[in-house]
Amino acid sequence: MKAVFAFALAFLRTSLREGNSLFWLWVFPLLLLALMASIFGRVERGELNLKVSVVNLDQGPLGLELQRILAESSLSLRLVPIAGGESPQGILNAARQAVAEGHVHAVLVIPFDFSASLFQGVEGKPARVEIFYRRGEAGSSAAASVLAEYVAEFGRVALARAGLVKQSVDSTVEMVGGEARTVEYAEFVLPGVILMAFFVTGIFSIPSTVVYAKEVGILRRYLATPASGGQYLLGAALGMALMNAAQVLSLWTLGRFVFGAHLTLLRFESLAFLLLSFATSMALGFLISALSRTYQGAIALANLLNLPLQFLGGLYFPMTFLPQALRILMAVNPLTHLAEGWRAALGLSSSSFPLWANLLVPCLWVLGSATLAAQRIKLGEER
Amino acid sequence: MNTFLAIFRAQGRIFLRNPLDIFVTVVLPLALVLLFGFIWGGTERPLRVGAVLAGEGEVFLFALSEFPEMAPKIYPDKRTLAEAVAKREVDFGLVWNGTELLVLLERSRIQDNSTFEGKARALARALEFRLAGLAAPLAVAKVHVGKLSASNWFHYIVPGLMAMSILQAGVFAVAGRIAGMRERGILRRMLVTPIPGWAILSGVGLLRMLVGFFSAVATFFLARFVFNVAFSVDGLLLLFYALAAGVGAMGLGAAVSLLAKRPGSANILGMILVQMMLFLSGIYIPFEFLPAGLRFLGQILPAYYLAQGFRAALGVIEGNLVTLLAALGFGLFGLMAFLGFGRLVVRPE
Repeated sequence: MKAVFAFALAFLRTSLREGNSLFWLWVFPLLLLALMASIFGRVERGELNLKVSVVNLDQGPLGLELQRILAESSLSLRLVPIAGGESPQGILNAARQAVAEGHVHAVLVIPFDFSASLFQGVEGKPARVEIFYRRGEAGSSAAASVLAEYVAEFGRVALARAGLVKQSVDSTVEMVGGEARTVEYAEFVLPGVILMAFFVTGIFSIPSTVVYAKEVGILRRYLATPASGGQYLLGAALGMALMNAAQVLSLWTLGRFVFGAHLTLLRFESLAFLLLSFATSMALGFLISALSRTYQGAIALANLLNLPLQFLGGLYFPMTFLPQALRILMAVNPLTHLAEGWRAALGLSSSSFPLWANLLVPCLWVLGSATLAAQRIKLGEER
Repeated sequence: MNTFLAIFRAQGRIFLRNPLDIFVTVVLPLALVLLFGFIWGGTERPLRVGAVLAGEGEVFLFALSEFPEMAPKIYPDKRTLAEAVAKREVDFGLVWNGTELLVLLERSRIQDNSTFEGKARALARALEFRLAGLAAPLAVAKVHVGKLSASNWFHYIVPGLMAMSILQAGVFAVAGRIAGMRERGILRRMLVTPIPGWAILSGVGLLRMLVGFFSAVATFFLARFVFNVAFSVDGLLLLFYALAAGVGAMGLGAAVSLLAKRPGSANILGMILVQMMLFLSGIYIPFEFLPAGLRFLGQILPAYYLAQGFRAALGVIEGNLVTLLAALGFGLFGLMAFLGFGRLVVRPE
């Protein structure tokens, strides 16, 4: 047992002393959580930095009122003036140029006949309002959508004030899936980042422990001592478990006290998924080691699996817009099931897969990897 | 010149014999383009809307027909619809009882729910007009004024990935390769021969820069021919930004190597720098989404201007003088750092 602890300690110390491991296994998960939660937390709260302009060619009261409402909006829009252009056409050209060159995200053009034609729309010819934007560009598209929503709502209110709308249709929102509470983005992403930390630790550390240690002769020296190969592997597993526990603790602390993520990890189902995640990450590390003849090959394979499996596993965003081929990959990806199952266990969402599938797929990966690793990995010298 | 060519050839052979190097610098960026292409590069699919109609169903369907971007699916009751929303079989649900609209949203779809709510509000307005026998009083026309008929976010990602391929290759040419040679004692052995330092530095640097260029070109062709992403390429401008990125990044790598005191630190510092540039330069994450502090940090990193420059050179956005000058400045910094610090970088451990 003493040897196992010694190996575990060596595993931990190496991860802290070696620059690459220190960054990727200890620092990067914290950095990623901080970045994702601060960036997408703002998006969630609608705190975007969108600059928009209004070109009001209408001399009537309604155009001015729409302009005033936009100027007073406390949303993520910041109204900025457009420089240049004396004539209406000149102003429009300057507005187009300002959007095209990225000085503003979108421009709302209120036409000459806006006030006059607003109520003519009732007879079937709506007043046409234009929004200049850059299609496909995220900020510009968001600004155009917000402006369009303002304009449409302005039209509705104008008709309602004129007594033309007979019945108001109220829309109320009800959240479904998971437990009855509001989920913040930091809470959604925290389990994903923890899984990422487990996964990266498994697929990079195990090949280093098995393939690299053998390749450079470290393992030969270890095995010349009274310690056995089993003790070495057990020590590595214990070291990885301790590292994973430290990762969970540090990430949870950052999430809880900096980003206000309230997650109760100490529930039975949650702990079961944490344990399964640890086992799956280790198993994948052993699978990579079993399939690689050299350490370089193992790292190449780990890199090949790393980002695609993370993205397709929905660790950072729910994956819902995927083509059929990627949906199949997603369904066999153990990270998908670990993320879905764990988030469901934490009450953050309902899983789109049944619980048995979320348990079975990772278990099959663990079993398959363990079988292959047992057949192919030899810790001793090969003749 | 002969020594430079010999080192260049040797580096080429080392690169081709190292599967990890080939993988990280060439295969991985292409795998990411494929992945992002499949996620963001396809045509936009309609929103899957589940609906339960308990009254005035015809009015509801008529109003919904004004929104071609929404594909409805009718459910028998609210419970079944709620389950479908929770399991993401549909994007969101609507329950219409003839007077009120209940919108069912899945709790964890934090990024999409505001869009879905907006769609539901637009439908509620359309219902009010239908019930009053009115047409919508305002027609909002979104007019694209960008340079190219860009269709989605993937158009903006591809030039950014191309810029990053070159930047990454440049930074690691010196911060990774030369620093690694120094730490392993290879440089010491080379420097006791008559090989001049500049030949080592430029031989390694040029090879890595070419690898970066190859990766960027492969990224472009993959996006163009696999995902049909059309670009309007300004070859001269593209070459300018590619050279500025390559030379600047090698200078940055040289500066990083000098800052690193301990063995292996140069590589780590380079990696931190590359990760910061990836996250903060608007390549993956739209720049407007960043908090003010990170936006400021992003704007002092060269990757932001180079990504914008590549976008301009590929006809995705209009180019501007600031981007051009920033890229030129970065390239000149790289040249000076390369010439100035080069001698200090190519020194024995």
